Amino acid sequence: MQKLLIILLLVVVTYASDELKIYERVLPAIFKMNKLKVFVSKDLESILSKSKHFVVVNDCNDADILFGRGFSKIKKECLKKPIFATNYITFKTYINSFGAFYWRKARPQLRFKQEILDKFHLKLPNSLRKYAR
Amino acid sequence: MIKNIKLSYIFNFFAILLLVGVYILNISFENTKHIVSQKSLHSEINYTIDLSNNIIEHIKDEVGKENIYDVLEKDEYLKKHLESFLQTFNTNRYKYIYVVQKAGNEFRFLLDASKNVEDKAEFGELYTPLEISKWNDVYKTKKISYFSHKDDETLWITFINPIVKNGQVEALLILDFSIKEYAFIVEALNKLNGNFNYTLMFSMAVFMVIVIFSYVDYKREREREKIKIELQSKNKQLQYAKKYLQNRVKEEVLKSREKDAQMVEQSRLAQMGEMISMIAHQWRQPLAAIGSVGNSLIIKSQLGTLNSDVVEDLASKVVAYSKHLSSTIDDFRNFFKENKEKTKTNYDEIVNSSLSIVEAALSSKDIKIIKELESKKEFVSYANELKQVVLNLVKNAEDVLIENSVKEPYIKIKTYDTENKHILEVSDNGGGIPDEIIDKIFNPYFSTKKKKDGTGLGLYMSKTIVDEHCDGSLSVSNSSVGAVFKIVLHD
Repeated sequence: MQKLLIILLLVVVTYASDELKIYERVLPAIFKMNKLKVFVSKDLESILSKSKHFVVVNDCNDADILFGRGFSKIKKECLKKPIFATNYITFKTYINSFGAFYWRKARPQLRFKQEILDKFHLKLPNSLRKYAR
Repeated sequence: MIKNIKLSYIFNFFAILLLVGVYILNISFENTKHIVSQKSLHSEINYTIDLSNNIIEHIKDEVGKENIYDVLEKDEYLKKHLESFLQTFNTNRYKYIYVVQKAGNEFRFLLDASKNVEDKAEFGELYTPLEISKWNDVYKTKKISYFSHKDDETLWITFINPIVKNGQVEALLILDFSIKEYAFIVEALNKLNGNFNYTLMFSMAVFMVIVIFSYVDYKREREREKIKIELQSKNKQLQYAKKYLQNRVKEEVLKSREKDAQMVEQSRLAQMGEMISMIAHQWRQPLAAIGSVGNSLIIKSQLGTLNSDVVEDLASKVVAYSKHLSSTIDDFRNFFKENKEKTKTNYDEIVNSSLSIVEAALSSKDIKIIKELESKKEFVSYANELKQVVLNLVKNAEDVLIENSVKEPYIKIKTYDTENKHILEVSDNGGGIPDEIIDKIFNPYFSTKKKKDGTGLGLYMSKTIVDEHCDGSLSVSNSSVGAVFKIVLHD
């Protein structure tokens, strides 16, 4: 059942090209918050600002999480916050990156690092535990 | 023979032919479509099989007998060399070429030919394909597998060729290649097939319409046949009725002629009776005079006063009376002589001639004759027949006057001319004809005479003579004192 849910989720994302939907399902569930303050990379600003579940903040200090890719230019203290990456490199490079959603060979990839989740006392919903390493 | 075949049958035949033809064509096209699309796909697949086998052979040659993961992990140069090698096949068609190895429930990249930095996978990067079970199946079966999937624009084939070493699947070579051309062919064939389906549906619709039309036509034809049979039956009945009626008409005409003959005979007999009666009236006075002369001769002979002068005087009287009797017979003979041709005549002649016959009888019954003869124009007609009519009208008036015991009875005969008409009216003061019978008095055998036995033919014959022989009209009306019969003749 869980597999089916995930596959459906991924299919919806794949075919509907609406990544926002998966962000809205995954992140508020992990953080158990209806509205999440996010500091996003430029490419995601326009997408996330449309959502009711995310509040895009301009100062990374005000954010609950960092969201996106390539955070090399932001304040270093902000890098201590949990990061949800949108590409493999960011997911791999940043130590506080707890999860990622990105495309590889035209296939969606959803990944979580259990260690980092534990560090931030974040708990995955049952349906997403499969993707944690 | 063709003329006898009904149009609906021909329509049906062509509709069935069309339907069967289109159906066969459709089935044939379905098969062709299947063959073409399969051949097209197989051609792509076969090419990719050859290509992937060559790539695998090259990788195997380069890696040697050791585990591919171990070799590539250690030998960065070899990895780059093999990725460069893979990149040589990387085209718009072969979008992704990479080698993965199973790692637990997932896979990990070993080689990736991608030139796109964003999409290029690292060595050892974990990877979760959507159809992971199909990928796992290749590990189990050790056989090539492929399946299609579609992104927003294009139909893709994910082609999986296992890299088998020592009987074990060590890694998988993945080629994602576009089957755009195949998709175009299939799409075109599907469109064509759709058109064929429309044609088939159209043919079916045409067939249905023709079947309905034929059914309606068949029903109408049956109805027409039924009506035709009914008509034939009615026609036969009509023919029979016609023959029957023709025979009846013949019979009735014969009967009518016989009746007419009888009527004419009766009329003639009646006229004879009238004539004898009138002759009796005419002859009474001269016969009495002749008798008187005879008595005078006897008395004078007994008295001895008979001499030659007296005898001569009395004999000349007898001769005169005899001549009068003879002329009376001539008058009657002429009167009842039938005219073969129309002659010029006028009402004065007709009236006077008629009255000369009947005047004595009327006078003896104190019936006054009033003559107002204003018509002086001559016309062409059957004079004797008109005289008979006038005589008949006068005699009828006389009978009515006698029967009704009219005081100071009279019969008025009036003639006058209008522009092109000659009119004669015979009227009396006998009280007129009752309204309930006035329309019937010209019917044959209709009579009101009680004391005298009337034949009921006098007025019928009179009307026939005036209306049909003389092209005129005889009508009747009532004045304040009696009946008015009116004869109208034309120039």
